[in-house]
Amino acid sequence: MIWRAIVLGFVMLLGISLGMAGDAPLQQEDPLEPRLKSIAVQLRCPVCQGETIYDSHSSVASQMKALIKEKIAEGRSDAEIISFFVERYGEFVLMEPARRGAALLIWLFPGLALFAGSAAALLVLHRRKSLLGPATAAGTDTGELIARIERLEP
Amino acid sequence: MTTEAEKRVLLPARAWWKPALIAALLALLVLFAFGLRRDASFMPSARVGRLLPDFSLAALEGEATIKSASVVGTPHIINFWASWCGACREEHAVLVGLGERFAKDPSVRMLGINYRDTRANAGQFLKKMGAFPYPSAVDPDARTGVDFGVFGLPETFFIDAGGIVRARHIGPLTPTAAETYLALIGAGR
Amino acid sequence: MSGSLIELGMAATALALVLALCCVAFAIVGNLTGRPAFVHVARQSLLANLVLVTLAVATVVWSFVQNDFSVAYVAQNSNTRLPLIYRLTALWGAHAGSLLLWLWFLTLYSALAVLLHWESHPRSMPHVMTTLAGVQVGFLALILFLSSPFTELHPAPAEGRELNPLLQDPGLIIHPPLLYLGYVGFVVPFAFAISALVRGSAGAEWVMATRRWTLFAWLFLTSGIMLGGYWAYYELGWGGYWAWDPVENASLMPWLTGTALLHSVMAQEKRNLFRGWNAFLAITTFALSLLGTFLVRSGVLTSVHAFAVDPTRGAYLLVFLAVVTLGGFGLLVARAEALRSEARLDGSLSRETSLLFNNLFLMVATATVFIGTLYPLVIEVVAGERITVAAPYFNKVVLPIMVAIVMLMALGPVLPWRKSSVPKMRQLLMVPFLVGVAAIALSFALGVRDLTALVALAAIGIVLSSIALDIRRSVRARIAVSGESWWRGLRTLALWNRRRYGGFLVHIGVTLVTFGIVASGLFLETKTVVLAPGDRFEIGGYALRFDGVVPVEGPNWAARQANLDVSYGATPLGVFAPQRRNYPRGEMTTTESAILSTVSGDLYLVIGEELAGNRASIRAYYIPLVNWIWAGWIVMILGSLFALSQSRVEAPAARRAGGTAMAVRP
Repeated sequence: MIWRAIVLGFVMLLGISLGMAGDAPLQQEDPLEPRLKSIAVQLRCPVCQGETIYDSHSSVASQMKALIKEKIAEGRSDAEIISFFVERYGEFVLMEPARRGAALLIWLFPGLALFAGSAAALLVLHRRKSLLGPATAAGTDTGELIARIERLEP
Repeated sequence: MTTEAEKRVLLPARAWWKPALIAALLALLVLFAFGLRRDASFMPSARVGRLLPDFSLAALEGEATIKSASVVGTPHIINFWASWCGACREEHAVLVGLGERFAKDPSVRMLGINYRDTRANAGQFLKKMGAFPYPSAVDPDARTGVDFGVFGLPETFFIDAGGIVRARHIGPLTPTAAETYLALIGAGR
Repeated sequence: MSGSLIELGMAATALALVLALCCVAFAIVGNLTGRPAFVHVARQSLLANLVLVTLAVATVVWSFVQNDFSVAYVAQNSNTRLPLIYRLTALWGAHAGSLLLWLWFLTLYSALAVLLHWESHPRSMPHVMTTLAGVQVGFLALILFLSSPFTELHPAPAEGRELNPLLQDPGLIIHPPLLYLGYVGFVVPFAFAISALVRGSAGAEWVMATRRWTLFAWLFLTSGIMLGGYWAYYELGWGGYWAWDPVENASLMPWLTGTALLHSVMAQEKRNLFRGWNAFLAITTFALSLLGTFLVRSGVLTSVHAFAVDPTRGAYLLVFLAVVTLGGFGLLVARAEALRSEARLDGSLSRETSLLFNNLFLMVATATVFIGTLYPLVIEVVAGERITVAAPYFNKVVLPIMVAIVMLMALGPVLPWRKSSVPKMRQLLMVPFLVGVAAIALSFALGVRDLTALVALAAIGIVLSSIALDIRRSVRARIAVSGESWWRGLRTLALWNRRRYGGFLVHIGVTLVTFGIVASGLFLETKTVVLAPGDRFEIGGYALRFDGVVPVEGPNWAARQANLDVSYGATPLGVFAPQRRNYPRGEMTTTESAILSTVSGDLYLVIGEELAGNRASIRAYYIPLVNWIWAGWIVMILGSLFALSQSRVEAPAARRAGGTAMAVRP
């Protein structure tokens, strides 16, 4: 079984196509499907725990997908379709929080934290170095020594 | 939090991180305390404060068509229900009670919307639980539900005489909650 | 009759609460008045609690086995048709039993910590026992008064309800125990950190004592998270393994800080640096483990339709969390002066500095996950609005930080302690840098355009080549002295210095996981097709024929099953059958995917809606290289176990050996 999997894996990695048996025509995806997906992954399924309506198997989600398909067929733009849902369900329905207002803070936070943290670390490294001068070679194993002494509790 | 703590190691002489750490911790605990008191089903409706959406739906019983225009003019309670919805059974008696009350008092009217259901299942549900003393419309493909911004059943909307949605209740309706909302649409006791 | 059995369990738990309180009192008084006999009483109480709680767990498990529906917890989470294996594991199928499992592990760790460190750390013992018993009191009271699995039903129902169908799966048999072994394991470093703070001696002693505990807990937490991902992958039916759900984030946060602790203790051990910081990390990691329990169990972060949440329990958990965190961090603040590092960070290019940045990145990642998870709550409390912070945010923001951490893995292990020089660095990193450039060029040629992915792939190349070069240097130095063969030299070095080589192995595992995540995300294929019986379609090189949907009956479920005949080229691979299962007693539906797994990728099939004319919508995913994630996990486990296998007696000798190897280095 494992060997078969490995052989299969190599065959696929090499991209060898061995030709198809059978005669029934291949079913293709609905041509609207890729666009449906690109929109549906941006919307949160209202009854699920943080799932997109694309991933969700709930029937509400499939109704919403059907609605999106219909709107695509009507020729609406992605933005129009998304705002259709936001109008009805509020910003809650957006998987990604907007980059404005109160939600802007969480987009800025990691950068600010990283910047402040790195700046502080570098500043202190620099200050210590200049305050203390070059390190002495004598202290090589002090830490280990202290550690061992401390382990020998009376 | 990171940076404070990070600096603490590096700048032991300055103790500003101490009050900051404790303050952050307290703020967090206060946030959780508020979080615990919140209503888990709290979900502001984008529809509240706006005119109810247009709809034109077939009635569950009979051949009639129920239109949103007919709702404007009288305060309305619109309840979304379905036979597959377990929590709808919990609120059934409350809805029937309200329906009987407003059958005698025409200042408020009620409308059920049977949501993503089949007529057969809905009929069976009503046979078992008792019929609503008010009409229901059918919304089999959730079109109207989406327009109302329905998350999950049951949900109940309270609409004033001007056709403006004043409140939305998520979950089984209780008599106390109903009274609060009725006051909002000018039909309190 | 069985009723009396569960009463026995309840009595045992009540007695355990008394003994835990007793342990706290005797340990404190014994320590203050200097009476060893009192401390001994505390020790015996803690050991007795393991026996008592084991007994309590046994009574609940036995009630499940016996289908004793007079026990409310059994009636709610099991029924006579539930297979025995799931009745045995239904203990952790819901809230009350999960807490009991938590408590059981807590008593287990407490007893082990006392037994293992009684001789070597007599001064710390009273404080460690006080802390452990204090945490036990918190959980015992919660279980007894607010979340009891011992409640009885009179009269007993004839049939029970249903174990959550999502949990009726082999993966879920071991996922929660692994996760809890990880969460709870951090209680020992926490207790030792508290002890060190109370005693005002934050030397390397507590760090040495808890280093292996930390690694042990980390190993289990890693495995719990990975297994959870694997379970989500094949059980939830959306082709993914990690959804950045609050529950998942709650397990990731202590993992991140635990990882930081695992690294930064080295600085304290070797150089006596980061003393206060390590205490902070130990407290934070345990606090985050508790926070995970709080977030999951209190209903603070649940979805719209989670109606049944007990507010008293939430309030209790909050108070418990407040006591632990305010106690721990308060102590840290009060004793901060005693923790000042005397040693100093003295070179900008050194192992210490790279550890500092490793910790910085890990903490920024933790803080970002923390804020992202809690921000919807903040917005709700402050502005009265609901927003969603989900996978797209975390993927965009946290993944780059994670990639930076992977990148640091190339640097950290090869940098010497104390000081290095730029020319030396250039010499160490020239080849890895070229490998990184080559990796980027190759990926770019293969069509990768995503910046984070490109950097991640480069990082993988850099890390692997840096590890390989380091090992090569050490082995060469070794065999130059000993004259051994290359393989023997490597063996000797690795066995002498298991922590270092175990660490390398863990790092290699991390690169495999990273590779799996990046590649499966980049080359994922999805297709949703509507098929009539006999229809064929292709994905990821596989040809599939739809043979219709049939009903299937299980012991406690009924399913609609789509049969798909899969072949690759001319090779038939058999019928794969995704299902949608309905569990009538629990009124729940689950999606069972069908997965064809190979080294190069998974074909992942899910049944969608059934339509008129026997047609059905099938969602198919081709997820390349996803199995590398699980393979990397195995490597991480092996590395951790190898590092753990270094006995404490061996350690100094091995450290010297490692030192020699490093000194011989050109």
